Amino acid sequence: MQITLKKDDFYIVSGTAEVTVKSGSLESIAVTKKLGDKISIPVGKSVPLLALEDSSVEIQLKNEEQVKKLETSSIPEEWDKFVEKILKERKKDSLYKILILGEVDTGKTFFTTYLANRLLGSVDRVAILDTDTGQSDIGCPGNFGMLVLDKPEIFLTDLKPTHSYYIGAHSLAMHFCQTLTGLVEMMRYAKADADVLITDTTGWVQGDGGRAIKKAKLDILQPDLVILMQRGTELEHLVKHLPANKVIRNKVSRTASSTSQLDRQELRQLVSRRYFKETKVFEIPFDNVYTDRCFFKTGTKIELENTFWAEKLSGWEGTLVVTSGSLLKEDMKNWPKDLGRIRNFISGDETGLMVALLGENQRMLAVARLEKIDFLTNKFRIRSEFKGDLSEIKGIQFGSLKVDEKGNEAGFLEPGKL
Amino acid sequence: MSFHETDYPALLDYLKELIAANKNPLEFKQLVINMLEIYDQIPVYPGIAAGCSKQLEKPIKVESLAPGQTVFVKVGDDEVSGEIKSISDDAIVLKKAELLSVEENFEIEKKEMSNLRFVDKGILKEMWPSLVFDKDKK
Repeated sequence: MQITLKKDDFYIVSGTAEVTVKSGSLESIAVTKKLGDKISIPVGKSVPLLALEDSSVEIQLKNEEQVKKLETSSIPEEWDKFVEKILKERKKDSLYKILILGEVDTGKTFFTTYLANRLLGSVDRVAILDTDTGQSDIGCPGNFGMLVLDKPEIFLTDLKPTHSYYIGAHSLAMHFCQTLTGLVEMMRYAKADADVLITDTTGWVQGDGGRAIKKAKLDILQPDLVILMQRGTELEHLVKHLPANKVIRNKVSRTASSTSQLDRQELRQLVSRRYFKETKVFEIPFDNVYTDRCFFKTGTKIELENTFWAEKLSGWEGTLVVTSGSLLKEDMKNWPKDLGRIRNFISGDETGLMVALLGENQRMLAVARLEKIDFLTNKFRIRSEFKGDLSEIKGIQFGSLKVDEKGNEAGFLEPGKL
Repeated sequence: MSFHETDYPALLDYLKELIAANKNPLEFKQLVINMLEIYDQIPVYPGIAAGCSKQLEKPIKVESLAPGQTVFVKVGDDEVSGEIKSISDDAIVLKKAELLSVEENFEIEKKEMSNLRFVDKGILKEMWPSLVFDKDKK
């Protein structure tokens, strides 16, 4: 469809859609688009279009309901006042840290992107840290991604993260240690690479886990500014300890849309598939790498009949045994009696597990799919887009997510199983 | 630590609810088996596994029964559980059916007994005496 816009006309376009500017100029999330520029909007995402002058656009979409004209801009004027406050408070040579908090579907990512784009006019290095592993906009889902922007962008998912940290799950519950360690690690990168760090978070703000993880993030990050994206007072419990001048309350835009569970999954997979698009399969001998966040290959290898692999673990942890099927009493009849707790892992259950390839100093090189642990040749068979020399890979970090060869979600591996 | 950092307690809460609801052992066993099957599918989401488990048991009319379903039913004073093998106009046939009959008193001859066990309620004190506290102590 073709739309003619008068100066200051404001539209919201929902994905999947592609907008092409045919004349004039538009602004979308603080990014100017001119003649010939295109905006590709994925499923589950919406973008605003503000005509900076009389303009026209062509929009490719499934139905016309995806385009809505609003009387006024959905972007509150006060957002630009936040930018002014940040620029005023920011001190040169020190990292200014902003934490964005909000429930799901409160427009945190949209606001984060807008804020970053606006700040880029006055700040050289703006970094966005995406800690929403279930709805990643920066990096592969299941990971923290940090992007140091050099120019304004509409969709962060289109860009390769500057730094990544593997969490290994979409939900932070049961992965608190990785989450908080990842935050510390990313802060280290931000201090070196950026002048302003905007940290976008998950919508998990209530209940035991939500309170615990958000308070821990606040304590670690020690933000200069916390921005609450709230409908009412649902986030106030998280900032009781902070002085008033460090908290901004941002009433959630009415146009912040809700996304269904299936749309969320499709959005995740859309991003995940990008990281498994041009993969190759390669093998890494067990002896060439260490393993992390697992029991496997951290103990002392022993020989046990009827097993593919057996190793004594530390102290009371017992013994990890890998077998072709569930362990039977018959299989164990000749085993020594001092093995302690037997942790039985069935060979093949690891297939599809998403792992991280680690380089020097545990720096993440790439995400990968564990095709198989081959106990006959003592090699990991890995699928990844990693293009470097295999000798750069020093470690393999395990997680809980499984993906298929294309990067689509394929289930879970229980933490502590391997 | 002041908050639960995982949703695992939700699974324990579900077990407590089953006990509080005075589920008979057949129901209890089937519901726990199915709870564990859900958990095995999503082991990183114990809270969701618990939430779904609470919806496992649903009332159903005889006309809506279908082969393959696991059902619980009261027959007279007895409780019966099993998987529906076939359905005819007048009856259903359960396979692997289990029957629970309740007796007010039940006498067992000692010479008939074997594999006798008891519940050792003092086990925490035996294994972890440092974790046993006197509730009345102020």
